[in-house]
Amino acid sequence: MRINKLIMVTLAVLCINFILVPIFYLLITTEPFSFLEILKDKEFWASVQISFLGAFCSSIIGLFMGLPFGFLVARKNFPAKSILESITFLPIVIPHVAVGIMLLCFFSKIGIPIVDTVWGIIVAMCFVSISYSISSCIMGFRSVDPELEWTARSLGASASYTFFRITLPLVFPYIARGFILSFARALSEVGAILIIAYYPKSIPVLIYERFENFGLRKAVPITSFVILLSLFIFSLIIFLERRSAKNKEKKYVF
Amino acid sequence: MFFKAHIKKRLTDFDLDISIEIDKEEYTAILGPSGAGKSMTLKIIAGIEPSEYQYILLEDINISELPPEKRKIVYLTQKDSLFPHMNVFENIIFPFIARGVKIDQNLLDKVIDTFKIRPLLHRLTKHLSGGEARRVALARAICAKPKVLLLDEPLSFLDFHIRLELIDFLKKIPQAYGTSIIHVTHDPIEACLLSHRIYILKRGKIASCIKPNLDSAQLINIVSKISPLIEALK
Repeated sequence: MRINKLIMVTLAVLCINFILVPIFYLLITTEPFSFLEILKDKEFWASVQISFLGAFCSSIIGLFMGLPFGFLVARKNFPAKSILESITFLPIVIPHVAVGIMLLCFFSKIGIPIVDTVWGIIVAMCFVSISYSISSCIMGFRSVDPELEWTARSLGASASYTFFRITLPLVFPYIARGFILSFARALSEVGAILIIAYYPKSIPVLIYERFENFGLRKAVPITSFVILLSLFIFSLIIFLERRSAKNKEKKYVF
Repeated sequence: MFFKAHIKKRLTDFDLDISIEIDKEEYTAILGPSGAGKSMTLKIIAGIEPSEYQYILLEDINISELPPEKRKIVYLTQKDSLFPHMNVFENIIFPFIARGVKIDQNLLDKVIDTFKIRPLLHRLTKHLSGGEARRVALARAICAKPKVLLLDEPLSFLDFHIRLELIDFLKKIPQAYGTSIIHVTHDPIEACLLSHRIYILKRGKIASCIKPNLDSAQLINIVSKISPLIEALK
């Protein structure tokens, strides 16, 4: 029993260190002066803008498409529902370079120019991250007890009022979770973007390019900076979430 | 007749075929074992569950084709179904806000006092005990000014003394608020203590209809005999 516990703890420690140690190693070994160079690097800031714009737009688009789909899958019964639900996970399964080729073929065929445009980046990011939005929306709608909706209807609320005042606020934490996950996934996409839109350069493409042309020495500072930026954004989101949860409690409980 | 309903629905084990009548401000119970189709009956009357046939008359108006929000019938689920993202006050005024009407302050004050929920008004619903939550749910249902109130096992999952206290509240509702009640239960004592008329339901059909003659003196007698036990439970 004691040995089992020891093995479990060791594996757990290994697991968390597998994530943390490479991050800290990179941050510690980056030269401080190279950071300053990055701050002055206009190409880097342009890529930050492109990446954030693309990730934001693609996550919003993903949610707009994912919400109605999530509602239908969670609430209605129709033929081949489980097959449709599995299809939403395809973007995670298909290798992302293949996604790039596939989207390129399709959009060239229907005559929409996406090569080397921001639209191309958004399309690629949206495709690879939409599974997270959809699955969060499905989870969200499944978490709301339909009895709450019946009760609201029975108390005199119309179907649309019930949706916007009861269902949607209860699903909102899941929507936020879906947004954060797909934003993060979109931000880190490189395979599909390399194929569709090398320009305008997004952060991962810039890192890849610096690494290819100048080696590790030039790639490391940007990488560290991007890691710091990601850590900062996610701590901010978690902080805001916690604070809003706390405020709500304080307001109502005494 | 104030309220009349005839409903039919095919269920997996048997067919539901029920016809009931209720007077104004009458307290009616539908008594039957679990799985006899009691909750389904209420859901069909409330307009939440579709059925093969329904003919529901409320004050001589056929309401069978109306959506749930227009039926003037409120269905209170077994789980209370208080909205978890609102506090107690927001829950209680929901029926006014949802229908876009002015808050009836007199009714609101009366309801808050009847159900003794003034100290709870600013609490989040997850911080309520079982009995408190049930009182709030009843108060909210009454704020919707229903002509008929449908209660689905309103005394289940509660401690004995809280059930007795709630029976007191429930008894007052029809006269105080001009509402008829259909109360679904599998507990014969509960049905006898509360109702003017009891429909007994067996496998989707009304087996019989009785009018219990338990007057308040008898009720007090019963309660006084078991009150030491109740005190002990508190």
